[in-house]
Amino acid sequence: MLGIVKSRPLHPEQRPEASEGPPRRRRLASAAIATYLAIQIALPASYYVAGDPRDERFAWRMFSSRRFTQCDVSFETSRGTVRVDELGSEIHSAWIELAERGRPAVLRAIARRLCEDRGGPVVTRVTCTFPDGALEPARDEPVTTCPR
Amino acid sequence: MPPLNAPREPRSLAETVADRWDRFWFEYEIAGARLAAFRVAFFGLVGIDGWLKIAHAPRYGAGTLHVPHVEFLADVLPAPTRLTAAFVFVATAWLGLRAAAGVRVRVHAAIAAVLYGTLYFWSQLDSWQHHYLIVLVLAASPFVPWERATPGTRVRSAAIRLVLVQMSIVYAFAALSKLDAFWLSGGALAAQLPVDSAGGSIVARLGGIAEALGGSTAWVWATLGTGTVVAELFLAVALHVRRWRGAACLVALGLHGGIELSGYDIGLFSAYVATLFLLVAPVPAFVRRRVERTVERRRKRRSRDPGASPRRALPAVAAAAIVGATPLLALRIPESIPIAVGVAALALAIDGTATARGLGWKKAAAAHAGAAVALAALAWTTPHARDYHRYLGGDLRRRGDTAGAIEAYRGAVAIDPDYAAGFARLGDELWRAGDRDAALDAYLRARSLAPGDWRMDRRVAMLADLLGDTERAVDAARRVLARVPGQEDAVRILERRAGTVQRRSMP
Repeated sequence: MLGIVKSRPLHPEQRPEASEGPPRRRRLASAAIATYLAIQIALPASYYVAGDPRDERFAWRMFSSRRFTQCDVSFETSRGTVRVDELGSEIHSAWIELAERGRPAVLRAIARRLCEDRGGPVVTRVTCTFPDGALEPARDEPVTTCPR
Repeated sequence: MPPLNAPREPRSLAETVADRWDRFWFEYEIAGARLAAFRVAFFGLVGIDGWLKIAHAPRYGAGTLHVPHVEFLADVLPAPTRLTAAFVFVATAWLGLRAAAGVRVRVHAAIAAVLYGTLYFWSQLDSWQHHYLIVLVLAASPFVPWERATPGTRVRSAAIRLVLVQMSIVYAFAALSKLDAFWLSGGALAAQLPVDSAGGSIVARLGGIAEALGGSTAWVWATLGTGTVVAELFLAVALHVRRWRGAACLVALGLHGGIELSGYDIGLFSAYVATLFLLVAPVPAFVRRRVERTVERRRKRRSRDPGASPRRALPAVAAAAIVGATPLLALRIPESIPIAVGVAALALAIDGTATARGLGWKKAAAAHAGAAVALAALAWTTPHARDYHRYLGGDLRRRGDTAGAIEAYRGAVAIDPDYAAGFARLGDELWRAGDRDAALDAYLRARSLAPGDWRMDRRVAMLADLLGDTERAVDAARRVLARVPGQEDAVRILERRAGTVQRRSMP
């Protein structure tokens, strides 16, 4: 099989485990390997099936076109609209960078923070531009309502 | 027992599949010397990388925003702090260096996987996908029989096979992510590759050649874009085909070499890939013999470490754990003391447990001290301790903590007295705090270190102007205008002050 299998196959009766059945440890290892592979294939595959296109984590999307998409992000609060790049005095620049890439969980966290600090509800507006200049279709972000 | 070529009973498909599965995973063999070489390279890199990440520790716990990779962790754990991150980075580095030295590799790999993986999933501040790959490789490492990696042997390891399969998964999905017209046409590559990078200039030259041959630069980009996808798909398969592995190494060299030439900051990603390819790279016979001799010499030295009576050895183990960690006090970051205490505790726990089981401790103690010395050496010979203070100062400055920023920038320039930008930022914060004389001193120091930088002269001019130091302000403003004609602040200062200077110089 293209030389993938390293060792020369033995006759089933010559392999010690053939008459005893596979050892329990090997069965456990096989189950663990199969489970690991299932997760490691399903997780990145889920990006293409049901994932948010802006969230490339665990999808092995290295240097994808999406990676260099730049998003304009702003939040409408009860005290007015603020751009994410104006929040440098309140949150670390690393979070702002992730927000400018449209990372959904980061946007939700920032919206919740603004809800607490400035009053809600908070509407998140995201407009992303692809490297070729094309605009991503605008999406409706869930409105963040401050918990009572 | 029947002979090998005896006719076989027909088997079911399930039996055949099960047999092939067993052989694929549980009969995968790797040369002992190759495995030893991989251990040194991979874990050594983990050791170095742990220190290189220390500059990013200040982002953890900065402000109160916290977003983990796994959402439920936000309800279970508090946000990681700067101390937590700094300890994990240094401890992972220490564990990696001890594992590279061949000391209790499985234990060190397991602890490194737990620490590194926990911090990774704990916060999206680290979203680098190759760090996720490192977590997976570390998690597989405790299941590799490192202790059997001796020259002349072949080691069976399903865990190593799993690491190679994981690499195939990475390459396959990386290729899938590029299956769009923009990538295949080379547009994404052209947009991502800076013109002034080494890669950009190479492509520009190739474009010139293509045009001379009747083609176009666009054709070059399309070839590179499509070629990247083809290369990744090839690598996903070739890692598991013995006679294709030589070609796979060459393709990987081209692919990852190209990524390095792009100039992107991707950390040690390419270096990690290079160590993983050690598992499959064809090796010339003379190199193999040299590596086997080296591995055998080290193995013999390690084997001269007989166990001692636990009751007699444990006090020595404790003393070695404490003394061996003292170089970590010289890491030049505020968390040096708690980190040194934490690593000493880790050493005591690992080596004490082994000693209680009757295993030798002297080689482990030597590796402990050696790792600590190596990390201290990195702290004194690389800019990362300075960058730790620099990034900390930057964050505190942006969030309005002037006093904290001043302390951080003082730390940066204390580590690197030639750090012009550090003195400039220190001056900015001192000025903001109202200590104008100290700010001017800092600006003058910055200017002396970067005499060609007009922004340093601008700072001197503006502050000297405010302090009423006319001559200095005018001199600095003129230096600015010599480099940036019409610079607004310099023009304004000269218009206001130049007449005063002229009147003073007249008899």
